[in-house]
Order: sequence, then C-alpha cells, then structure tokens
Amino acid sequence: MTPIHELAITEAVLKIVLKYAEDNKAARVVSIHLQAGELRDLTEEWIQRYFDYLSRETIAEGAKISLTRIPVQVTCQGCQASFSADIRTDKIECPECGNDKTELTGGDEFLIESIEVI
Amino acid sequence: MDKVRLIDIKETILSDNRDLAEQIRSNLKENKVFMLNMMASPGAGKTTLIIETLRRLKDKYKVAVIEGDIESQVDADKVAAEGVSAVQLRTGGACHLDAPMLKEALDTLELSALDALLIENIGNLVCPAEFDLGESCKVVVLSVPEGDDKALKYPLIFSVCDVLVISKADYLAGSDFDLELLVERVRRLNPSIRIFTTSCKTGAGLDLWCSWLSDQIEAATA
Repeated sequence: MTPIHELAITEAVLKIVLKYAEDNKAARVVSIHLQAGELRDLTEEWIQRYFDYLSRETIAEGAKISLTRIPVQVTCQGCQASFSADIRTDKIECPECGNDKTELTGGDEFLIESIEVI
Repeated sequence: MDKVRLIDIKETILSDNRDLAEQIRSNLKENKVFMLNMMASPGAGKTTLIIETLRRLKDKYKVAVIEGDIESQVDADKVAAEGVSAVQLRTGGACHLDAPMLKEALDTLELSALDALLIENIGNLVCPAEFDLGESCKVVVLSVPEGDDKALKYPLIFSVCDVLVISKADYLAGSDFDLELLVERVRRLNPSIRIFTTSCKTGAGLDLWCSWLSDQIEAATA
C-alpha cells in the first residue's frame, strides 16, 4: 500500500514545527524528534521523504527527522504487572505470573517530542 | 556560528484534527444525531452491510449516509436506490477521511432533521484508524475471507473501535478461519469491544446488530 497517510501526518508535523520555530524566533530547524507507539503504522523513511517535499522554501527545509518507537505497554489482568509486549504475536504472557489475559495500556502515543533550531 | 537550541514541544500530532472532531462531536450532540464511522478493507462488505442496515432502520429513523469512496459514485448510488440520502465525498487519492472532510459533508446536511449518520470510510485498515471524525461510535468490519490474523497485523484499528462486525460468516464453513482465535486476539487488544457475527447473504446476525444500533440511536436522540 502506498504509505499515503504519512503525507497527512507529515503536513500536521510541519505545521506544528513551523509554529514553534517561529515562536522561538529560529532562523532554521535542524532536526525534529518524533515519538510514536508501536501500534502506529508509520515509516520514518516516508515521513522524511514527504517532509523534504513539503518543507521546501520554509525554515524547516533540510531538517532531519528521527522517529523513536515506544513499545506497546500491557497490564496483566491477573496481577496488574505492567510490561511491554509484541502484540503482533499470540505469545503474550505476564512475566510475573504467567497469565495471558492482558490489557493494552500504551502504544498509541504520537507526538513531537522536541526540535533543534538555530 | 549560531548555537543549536533544543525546543521541547511534546505536542500530539493530529491535534488539529482531534480538536475539529471534538467540535463535530458536540455539534452532533446538540442536534441529537448519532454518527457511526464504519471502517474496513476494500471488499469486506461495508456497502452491503450499510444497505442491509438501512433496510431495517430507515422506516424507524431519519438516516443519511456519508460515502468516502475514493473516486467513484457507485456506493452512493446504491444507497440512493434505497431512498436514503447519501453525500459522496470525493477524496481524490486520499486513503482515509479526516475531520475537515467530514465537516464539509456535514455542512451540506440539515442535522436537526436527522437521527443517524452512517459514514462509510475509505477501504483500508491502516489510516482511517488514525483519524477521529467526531463519530459517536467506531466500527470495524472484518470479513471471513480476509483471515483471522488481521488483528495481529493491524492492531491499531481493532484497539480503537467500539464494535467489530464479522461479515460473510457464510464462508466460515469449510474455511480455516478460527473465529474463537480471532475473538481472543481482538479482545486482547480491546477487552470491551462488542462483536457481531453476520452474513448479509443468509441474514444471520443482522437483526442483533441492528437492534444494538437502534439502542444507540435511541440513546443519542432521546
């Protein structure tokens, strides 16, 4: 599938970045740090590619994007222990008590953590 | 040389979309309209399910449909053939509906004259899950031929939806689709999700689904 939703997401990123850069009287944006939970289907490569295109002739042109993935957090419904898990498999088991009944408690995060400007 | 400064932002991406979706949600609430956002892969049977749902509910409630098909008018025409008004959103190449598109569609409708709105989102299990439209309820439709592994492959959509409608249940016989395993996978992501198993071919499960939907519409319009 064409990774087109990254385009809409990158537009949103650029808008927020430019707002903060201008508020901070920056001359240029050097880098952008994004965080996304593992539940989000995103590829850094496509965000960068769309960003390079969308940011032309703005002070964010040339900025380098880094995407940090946040592991999915689940909570054991038995003992309430919280642990990270790969939810794309069937092998989810509480490391504390062995229970396989878990609840998602994180992994859908999606934010601009920080930017570096000059 | 100028010094590099670090600016902390910690702002949620898509906050603009979320804010507009909240406006839509409160506007619908004011007008007592229930709005359903139906999402699925292409071919899962969204349009057929909508048509069958309209046949059961259209005499009881004032319903309109918002069609988010990519470039054709086909689905909107099928809905119009049922005597129900349909707004066709031509999304060009977009792979999902977002709140600004929805607002555009809602602006063409007389909300106070409606009880319920059904949105047929663009066929795709990835992007639509990311965008809040201001709906009252999110539904994902998964057809049996797609396989029981979809909850593993597309966890986000199953984790954000309130309801899962399993469609084309008539294909269950003779297939290796493990319904129990699918339910287990989905509940792991979303313990409170409501699940309906349906077949538009045999009619199985449709009355149950529509009776649940009626209760939601009643609650929203009360």
